[in-house]
Amino acid sequence: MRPLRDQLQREVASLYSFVESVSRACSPPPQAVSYSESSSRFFDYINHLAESTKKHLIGFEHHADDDDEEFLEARTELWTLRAAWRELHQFIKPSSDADTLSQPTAVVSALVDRLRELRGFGSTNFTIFHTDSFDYAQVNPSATEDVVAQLARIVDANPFPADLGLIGMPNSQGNVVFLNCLLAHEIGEYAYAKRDVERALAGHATVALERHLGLQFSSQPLTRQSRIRRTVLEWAKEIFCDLFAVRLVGPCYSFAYIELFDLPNLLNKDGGLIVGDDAQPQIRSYRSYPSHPFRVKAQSELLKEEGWWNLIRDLDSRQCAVLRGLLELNPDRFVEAEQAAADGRAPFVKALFDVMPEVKKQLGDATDGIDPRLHEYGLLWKPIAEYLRHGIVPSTLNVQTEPGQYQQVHPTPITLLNASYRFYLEGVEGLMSTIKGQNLSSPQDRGAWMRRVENWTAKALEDVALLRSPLR
Amino acid sequence: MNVSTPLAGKENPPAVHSVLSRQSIEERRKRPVSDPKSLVITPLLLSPDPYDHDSIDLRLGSYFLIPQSPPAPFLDPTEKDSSRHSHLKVHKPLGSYLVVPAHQTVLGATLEFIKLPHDVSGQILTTSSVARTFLLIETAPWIHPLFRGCLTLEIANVSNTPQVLYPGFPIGQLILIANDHPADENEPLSGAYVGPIEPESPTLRHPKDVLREIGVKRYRDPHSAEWQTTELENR
Repeated sequence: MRPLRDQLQREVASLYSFVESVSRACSPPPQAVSYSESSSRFFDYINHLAESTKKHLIGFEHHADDDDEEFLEARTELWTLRAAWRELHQFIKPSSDADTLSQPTAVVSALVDRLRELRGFGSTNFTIFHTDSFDYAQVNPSATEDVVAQLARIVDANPFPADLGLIGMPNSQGNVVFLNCLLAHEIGEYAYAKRDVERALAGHATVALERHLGLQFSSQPLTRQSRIRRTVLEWAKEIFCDLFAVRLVGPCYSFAYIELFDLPNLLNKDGGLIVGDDAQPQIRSYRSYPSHPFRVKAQSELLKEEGWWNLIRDLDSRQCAVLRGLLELNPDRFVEAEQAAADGRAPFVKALFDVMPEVKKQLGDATDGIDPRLHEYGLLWKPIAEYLRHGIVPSTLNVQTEPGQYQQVHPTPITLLNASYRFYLEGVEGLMSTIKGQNLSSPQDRGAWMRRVENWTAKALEDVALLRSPLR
Repeated sequence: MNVSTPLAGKENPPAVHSVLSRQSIEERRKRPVSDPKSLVITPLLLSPDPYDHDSIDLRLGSYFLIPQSPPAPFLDPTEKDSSRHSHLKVHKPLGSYLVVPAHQTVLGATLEFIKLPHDVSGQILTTSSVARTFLLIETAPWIHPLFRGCLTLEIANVSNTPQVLYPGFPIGQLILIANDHPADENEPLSGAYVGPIEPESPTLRHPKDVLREIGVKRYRDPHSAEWQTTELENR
């Protein structure tokens, strides 16, 4: 049998090759591909980590000998290094797939700029990666940082950039604008983790569960209690992130949510809400998140509290009818639906209701001082719709200030997103009526102009980033 | 200078074609978008001053179509998607650049989105400093009244040296010319190229359709080289 030292050296070489192949996706891209600043920063860091790891492995033979203890120590280190690279592996190639043509660059920039208005997030940025999943995903920053920190310590590399987040988006949604307002939820998850909101909610969840489950909860061992509490905390996190997104970007988040999950299916032909057993999606909660109707109801209530509702309530779209129906729905219906199912989730829903005030408090703290841009939206949504109806990118608007007097304005990204989404929902027919040979009942024709509206919105977002740049 | 013509002083003299001055351009940019005489140019970055006395500087946008070999042996006008497969779409964010090899042409677009008034045509010309590097941008320079969109640029590097293009750099001059009779602003717009924000593949028309319109009864199919009828099949 070959000496142990030689065999270990073979395993070192295998790991060296693995690191090399994983990090290859971060090599300088071909001429046809460009990356956002945050992606480039992520790749630079991975390259730095890879170089440090390879350098460490080149010197690794000095650590290994035939001594049992030394061998075990060395082998454990290799295990740790490979495990960390295995963890990173899942993000690297999917990030390199998300070049600037394959991600909604303008939307991401607008959302990041908006986040930076909040205290504590002034330099935050996000690397976007593609996922095969239908859902958006945010990588828990502390989890990534922990894995990478361990690796960086061993190979003497710099720590993972503390202000860089990772967000996964469905690979099919790379160049759409409006549905990607859902990225605001993932930004909310980043804020949730960074601000350690869970710690603040945990005590409230415990009290709520003691109240609604009694001995079923309090007589359990602590580990079991923690597992039970996890359900309420997971639900509360989803609600926090939804509400964070609404505060960040306004009703366009809810419109996108309703569209992605096809919630107009909750409406009958008269626009009334279906909340019985035959409702699809169901009104009952899921194991790891509250039901879609529950989540949208929470959003609609915040939209009302913030003053958005008065500005969007007359929107001629089934999207708005979903919001209206859920706004008017008695919250007891969610508890009743769980009780009818008799699988024991009713106390959890009640506990979630108890935790909601703390969720709102944490939301208020996290988004303190942010201007929802309501006033601007109220002034500009009609001019923006008019520009779009004329087939014009709405980044420079001539707005009437008094009869015969016009002023040139550049709307903020939040107003652009909300006003353009509104037009996308209710105005495309008006646009098509100005174009020769368009058939309103053709999904192809209608889809083409819906895409155009998205393109014009994306262009307007890029334009206003230039026009409103503080460097100019 | 005023020039007297035989028509001067008569009723309803035809309007004279004239190049819009800076003042006229600025005045039209201030009109509401519902006014058919309104002009939109956005984003018009005012520093440094983009205006000359009779033109406006336009900048290069971030999207390009680079020619590539299509899966078919040639650009096939009988295949609807053929032109889409003959280009590679590339995005170069502001700050990055695109290299155009010697003797190659790429499609680009202006950074500015433009909507022309109903009584104004336009023409885009290569700026002189760009032209002196042997780059040309305007093989289809004319812009019709009521056009809206980013202008597609056919950027040809006719030099023997690869050239670097930076999005955001001034690349062309827009000249606006008043027409003697305005286009009807209520006329529906033609759909093929309304409102592009980036260069788009051409919409190829089947030779059968184009030739039938002018009374030609047969055409040679590019795949088989055989003669085919231009008659509609269900006839």
